[in-house]
Amino acid sequence: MHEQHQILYKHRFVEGIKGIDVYRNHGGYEAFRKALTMTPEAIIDEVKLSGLRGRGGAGFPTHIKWASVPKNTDQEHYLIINADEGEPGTAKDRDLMNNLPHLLVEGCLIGMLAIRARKCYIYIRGEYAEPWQNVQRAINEAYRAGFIGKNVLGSGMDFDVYTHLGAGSYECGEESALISSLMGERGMPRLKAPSAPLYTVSGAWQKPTPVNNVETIATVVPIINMGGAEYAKIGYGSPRSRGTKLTSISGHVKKPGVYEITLGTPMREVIYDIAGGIRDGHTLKTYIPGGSSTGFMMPEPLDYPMDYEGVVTAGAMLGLGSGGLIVMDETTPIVPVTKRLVDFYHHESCGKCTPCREGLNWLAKIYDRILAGGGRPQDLDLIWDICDNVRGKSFCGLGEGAIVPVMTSIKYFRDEYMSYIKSGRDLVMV
Amino acid sequence: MSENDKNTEIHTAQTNTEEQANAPKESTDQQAAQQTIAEAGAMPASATTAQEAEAAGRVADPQPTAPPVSSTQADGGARTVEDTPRSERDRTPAEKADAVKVQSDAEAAKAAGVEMTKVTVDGVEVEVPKGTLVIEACFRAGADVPYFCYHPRLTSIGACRMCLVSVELEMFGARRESIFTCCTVPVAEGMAIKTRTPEVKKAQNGMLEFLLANHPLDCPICDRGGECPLQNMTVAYGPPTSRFIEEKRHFPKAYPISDYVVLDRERCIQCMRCTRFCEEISGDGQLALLNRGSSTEIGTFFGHDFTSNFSGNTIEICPVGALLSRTYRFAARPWEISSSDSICSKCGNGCNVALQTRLGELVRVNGRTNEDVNEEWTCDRGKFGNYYVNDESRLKHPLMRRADGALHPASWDEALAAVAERITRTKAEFGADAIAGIGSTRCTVEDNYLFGKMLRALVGTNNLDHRMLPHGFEPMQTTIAEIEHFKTIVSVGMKLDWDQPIVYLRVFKAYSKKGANWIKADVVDNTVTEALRAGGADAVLLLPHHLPQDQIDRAKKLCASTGAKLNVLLPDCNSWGAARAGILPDRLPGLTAFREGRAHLDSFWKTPLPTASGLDSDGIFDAVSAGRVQMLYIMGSDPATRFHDTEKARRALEAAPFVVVQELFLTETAKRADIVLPAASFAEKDGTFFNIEGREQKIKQAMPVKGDARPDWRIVADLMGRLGTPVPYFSARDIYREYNRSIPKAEAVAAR
Repeated sequence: MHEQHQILYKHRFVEGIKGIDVYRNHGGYEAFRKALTMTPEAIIDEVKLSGLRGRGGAGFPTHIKWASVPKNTDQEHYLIINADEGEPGTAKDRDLMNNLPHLLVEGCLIGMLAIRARKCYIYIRGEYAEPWQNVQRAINEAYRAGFIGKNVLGSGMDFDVYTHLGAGSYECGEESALISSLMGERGMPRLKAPSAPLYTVSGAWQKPTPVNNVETIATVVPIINMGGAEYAKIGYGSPRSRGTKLTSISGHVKKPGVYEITLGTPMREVIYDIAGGIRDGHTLKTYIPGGSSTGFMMPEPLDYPMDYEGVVTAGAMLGLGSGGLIVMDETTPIVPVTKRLVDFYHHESCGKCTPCREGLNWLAKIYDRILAGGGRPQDLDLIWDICDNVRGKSFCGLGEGAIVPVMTSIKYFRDEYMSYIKSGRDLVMV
Repeated sequence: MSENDKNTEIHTAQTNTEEQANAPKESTDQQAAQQTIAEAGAMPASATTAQEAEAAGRVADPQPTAPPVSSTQADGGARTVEDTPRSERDRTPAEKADAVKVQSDAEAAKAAGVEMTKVTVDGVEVEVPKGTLVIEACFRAGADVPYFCYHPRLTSIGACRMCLVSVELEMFGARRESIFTCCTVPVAEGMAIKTRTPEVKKAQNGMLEFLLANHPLDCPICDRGGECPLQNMTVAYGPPTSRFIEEKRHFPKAYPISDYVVLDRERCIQCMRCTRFCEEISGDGQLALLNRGSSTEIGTFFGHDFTSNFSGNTIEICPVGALLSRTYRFAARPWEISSSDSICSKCGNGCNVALQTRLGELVRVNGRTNEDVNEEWTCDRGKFGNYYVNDESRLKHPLMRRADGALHPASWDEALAAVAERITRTKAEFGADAIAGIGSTRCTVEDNYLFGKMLRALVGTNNLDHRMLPHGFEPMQTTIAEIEHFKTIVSVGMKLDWDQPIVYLRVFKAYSKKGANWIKADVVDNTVTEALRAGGADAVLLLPHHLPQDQIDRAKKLCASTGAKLNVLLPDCNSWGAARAGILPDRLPGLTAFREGRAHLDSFWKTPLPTASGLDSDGIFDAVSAGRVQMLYIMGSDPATRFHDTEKARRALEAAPFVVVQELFLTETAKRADIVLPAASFAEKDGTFFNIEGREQKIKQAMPVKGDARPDWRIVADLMGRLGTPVPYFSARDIYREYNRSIPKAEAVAAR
């Protein structure tokens, strides 16, 4: 088995690590002190060396995002942290915010240094009351300890970190909708380049506002601590996927939970070793590699490296995803599972664009009908065509993501649909 | 270039493409493309000179020899009738207006020397200003792109996903083709835009199927049916049938959200045109999206009434029948309507409107595009306030006060004879100055001119006025359209969105889109002074005409010292016209002073005019009460309710021995008259209005005259005949020509 580096989770299980004293005893805020001595360019260079890519799902290189923030402007800019973790199956940021809130705060401080921002907004989804409390408590402690506030550590710089609770919309995890929501507007996605300037140039309140995932920004702390080059050595797979990834493993495994997994670890090891394998007496039927938007995948092949590139080569429609591995054994009926996911996306669609609003509504109704025993043989082609009409035509990623589990379920489990359509019952007997 | 010319241009482009599609089958696509390019080159839209056209042709020449790269070309000769764009005729007036706006914007930009970008649309090469949206480039090339949420005056949001096109572009070193919404993406050099590839067609088909999934099939009872963009797009691009067998979304039908607007949320396709209008154009933000996802609906916050003064525009821009006019509801089908271009009669802004009638009844007032005045908007006063022309209580016969003291119907002959006889008698007994006339700010220039001519030349008096309160005449120093370019805008003593709605829209545009300062004040006070001083020459001051003269004088001095522009805004649809027509005690047509104008008019009207200034309206009513004026002739005016001192006006009307009133309704003034002559409304006659800027705009008869009523100028002309001077007028046009000649040349030049 490959060695699993514990970079973020090094002190995850230390008693009282939530508190600033214990955190500082374990080297907390040293990275920030180090970063204070570095120029913003040096921090970005370090991140560039580390090969850090966005851990929220898209895998966009963090240093490019930061470097595109305009320099030498008098404009105020803000760092926005996306803690609106809503993807079904993903709960890694919750674990991080609950147990290592100071890691997030320290990451925010370094991120602000890198983009010359003095204010940071952490947008936390409305349902995350507990993580919000933890993060807010950590921020308060950091204020008291002088890491945030006026003239931080004698540097002459003032930093502020704010938390903002969302109102319960999955869509607000899409960065442009998050920006709208943060500004108090309706949580709908906005135009992106080339139709509009990049958010790193003109985002919230027309100010440069890069949006980073919680895990990404937390990862900056060990990168500064150990150096980017050192961090880049971690990883077993593609040279473009370095470091570790928090993954929440759920479903029919023996040891579900949030794990820090070194990128490039074979998927078989992730499921069978790290998560302890499928529960006794059962076999792997299918799994969703990184949150429901990445769709179902079959047990074969399973020996591919779990990283940004590996998942795609293994046939996933949408890459690594946000780190929510859902494992299902042979007792899982796929059609109701897919219906549950479709209902989720239908419920969360913001209603801005036609394909997502109407297409998902239509899909949800078709699934209702099929499960109620009213399926028709032509429904599968219809579902496929609806998905095809949504694919590449919806305004943002929500519609794109919503159809992936549908299309993959039809691709791999057509017989289960046919069983429903023919007999109104599931193939799988639980 | 006039609007009509532009329309023709687009039409030419469309016809060309149609002809091309109808060409014999053996004509290959490449030939067709070549032809299109050549024709496009000849179009003034893309190339102004013959050399440029040739150049465009040469650019196209190598193409047929090149290997087929695009998917349209790969289709070979498989293009069918379906592939042809919709003809110009199939487009709704709104779509045509959008295309015209895009065209004119592009031309203006080119004329202004803006950097141009070259793109090809379906093989047609066009040059568009840098930063133009791809959809506008498509319009410019004459290509047809379906759209719902896009509107040239609103920000693009790319919500309906209907305008998907395939674009080939050099990106990251490789030539890629991808599908995206063309209403959100600006053009880039060398883009090859294809609007009719199989992928695009599939996408259009799919989007329409989605939109129709929850759209009720109640077109036969929908007011939009027949002029509905969704219907048109479905015919042109949509699937013939739907595969949607599920239950549709249901909301209460015809839910009234204000006195004027009903909302049908089942029909709504969530294009957000109305919410964007309320946010960006009218600035009241009263309509908003409620809920999310497939339960998204349009509504007002907390169910409040939609009280915006511009709510009617949302009905017009709604691409389906979701927002409907309560006044037009079930009144007509679009194909039964006859529409005539006219000017709104409700305020002085002079909105260009289309009066739409069915069976001689006004059923709807729609905005017409005029970039210099109302762009394409109207206010609710204009949209819903002009129905008075249909009113059953309109006067249909002349009325005369008989021996019993009541008004009774009479024939025109009898009434006119009585008026003529009374004029002659009064003049003989008491002199010409015992007769006084009140003109109208709501009658046309022609009506007023002839009225003034009758009183001055035939009766021989200068007791002539039209003002309901004493005020001067300050020509506006800017046009309405120019207001949006000022950096400081000060409005005094007005509820701008109600009193001067179109001026308000310009002011709001300057304020919201161009970052102008907008200061509202009640009187010309220190705030105003400071704002104007700070604004310098980049400031404009908007005043209502009814401010006391000393304030207007102060404002004038202030503006002269700071360099700010002063606009004194008049209230009625023809306030300027009545003044220009000379309905003032001391001014002749063209606002000419007596001194300069009399010599010209003496010879032109072939009568010596009275020399002394007459009485203004206050003086007239005083003189009536004092017994010096024996006869009042009131045309289209209601001093009994509209005069600044109504008591005085009413006393005078009671005291006057003889009152003649030309009116639409039995107003308070008409009730006190001895003879009431029924007049035609603005919708029933031709004529000219001058709006607050002094812009000359024509109104056109839209419907037959009610009952026995006659246009005001016709009544006056008839009367002039009976007074012994028959006049050779057959139309308002004749009178307008004479009005123009009645202004001394030098004055006419100065007035321009």
